Amino acid sequence: MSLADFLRGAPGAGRVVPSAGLTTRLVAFGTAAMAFLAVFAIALAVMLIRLGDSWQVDLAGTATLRITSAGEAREADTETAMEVLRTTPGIETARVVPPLEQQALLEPWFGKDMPFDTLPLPRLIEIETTPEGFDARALGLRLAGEVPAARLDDHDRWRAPLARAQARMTGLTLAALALIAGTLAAVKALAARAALAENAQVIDVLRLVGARDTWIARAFVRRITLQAAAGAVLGVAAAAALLALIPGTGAAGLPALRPQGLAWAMVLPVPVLAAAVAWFTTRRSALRLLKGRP
Amino acid sequence: MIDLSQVTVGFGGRMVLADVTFSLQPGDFFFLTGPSGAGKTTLLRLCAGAMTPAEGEVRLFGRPLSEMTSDARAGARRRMGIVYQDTQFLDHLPLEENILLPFTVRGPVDAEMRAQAQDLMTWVGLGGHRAALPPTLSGGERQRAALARALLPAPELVLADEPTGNLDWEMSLKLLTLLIELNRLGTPVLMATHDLALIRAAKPMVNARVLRLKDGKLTQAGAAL
Ligand SMILES: Nc1ncnc2c1ncn2[C@@H]1O[C@H](COP(=O)(O)OP(=O)(O)OP(=O)(O)O)[C@@H](O)[C@H]1O
Ligand SMILES: [Mg+2]
Repeated sequence: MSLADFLRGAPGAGRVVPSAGLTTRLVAFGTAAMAFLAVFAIALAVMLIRLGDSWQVDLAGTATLRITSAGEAREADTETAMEVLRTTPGIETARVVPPLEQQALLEPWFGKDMPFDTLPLPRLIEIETTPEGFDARALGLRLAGEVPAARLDDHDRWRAPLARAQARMTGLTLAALALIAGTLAAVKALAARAALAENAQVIDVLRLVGARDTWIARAFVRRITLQAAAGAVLGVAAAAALLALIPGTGAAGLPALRPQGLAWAMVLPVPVLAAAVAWFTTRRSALRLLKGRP
Repeated sequence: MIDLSQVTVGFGGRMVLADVTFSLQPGDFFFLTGPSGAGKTTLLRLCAGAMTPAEGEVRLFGRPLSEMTSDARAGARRRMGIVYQDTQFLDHLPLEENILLPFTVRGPVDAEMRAQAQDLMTWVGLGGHRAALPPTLSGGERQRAALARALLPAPELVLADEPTGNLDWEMSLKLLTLLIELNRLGTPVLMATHDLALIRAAKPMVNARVLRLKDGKLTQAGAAL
């Protein structure tokens, strides 16, 4: 029985299996639930991948130097630090962030009324590295000697664990997707089993009139697969509707869970895949069960 | 066409068929009798390839059943007209669709097949029940429908288990006559029945042999019948 045969359908085979079985309705429900979960898992995976990308783009190749000394020393230390940076290999540009710009950065966190000029704010130097990057350890040692009040923040320090966490979460999400597919397959195998048991008389009658096992299996598989596909479409629709309700921009600079643009297309294969899993597993278990029956 | 040689079947330690040998050849007409529970249905199911014996060999159309794939068994069954005792239908399908099943499982059903089925239904007195669901029919109506279904695809042989059990005398004779007509054209018939009167009625019409199954043994009944 090829997929083409299946889609064409055996003439009359569709009707020989009673439709209103509890099994087929449970199959539809189970598939809808799995498809629903799959869409969320996919959305999560897409979000995590995007998150990783944005960190790479925003943070790779940058570093920050903070000059924490107070009063007059701050200007002098900043000068010295800039001198050090200019002579450090691997640094493309270094720029002192003007106080006003720095203030603008902090405003969202502390509000407009904060008396910024009276605060002992560190001076910030933005560094852009060459593609090869610089030796953070060597620079750290040199600064410790010449400008003890300078603190180097090369972003990798906190980016690396975040990237690791992101990779792990992405892996977990993909594992969840695999589990969903596995559960779907198990549900389908059980469904085939139950449907064949529910319809023992149907099988006896079909055998009596000379039906081949593949023909009998096809009648059951077709019914279960179509139910599964219908359930999956419902599940995907429900999940997509819920995702669409989530605000487009995420909180605290995180990308939103809601898929953007083309990412929506990622959920389209879910019903197709669910139907394919249903077709394959049901067919396998139906044929195996029929073989076991005399 | 069907050969059972030294076949033994038991259920839960009880021997139902012991060392039974039987052969159905073109032109044969057999009545199979015996007390209830003697194993008549079991013997017919063996002939239909619907079960395998514990011992001995079953050959369908010359091929050993034990070596046949499920497809080959299905193929053999397509050459047989089988009527089981508890007539089996798909209860959710109208009677006409049930009677057309032997064609449905082979491929597309065309108008000619449909017309054939309708003729046969009319002949067995079910012309007005084409759309009825099997559970709504009487026992006798279902038996007639089962025979109609078995004969529709022009089988090479007929296996019938009590096909007249629920029928009045007139209808029983009518169906018996149909089987005898088929037999005259060469189709072998194996028919299990309790109805000795029917066997007697058949005697002038066909050279039938009467087999008796008792205590697991198959014997040919004497001329007393
Ligand atoms: N699948 C089965 N499992 C267990 N026992 C069975 C099975 N099929 C038949 N039997 C037993 O085998 C014996 C013979 O059964 P069978 O149906 O062949 O009898 P029969 O001659 O057709 O009887 P009847 O005239 O009442 O139809 C019975 O005792 C029955 O209980
Ligand atoms: Mg019986």
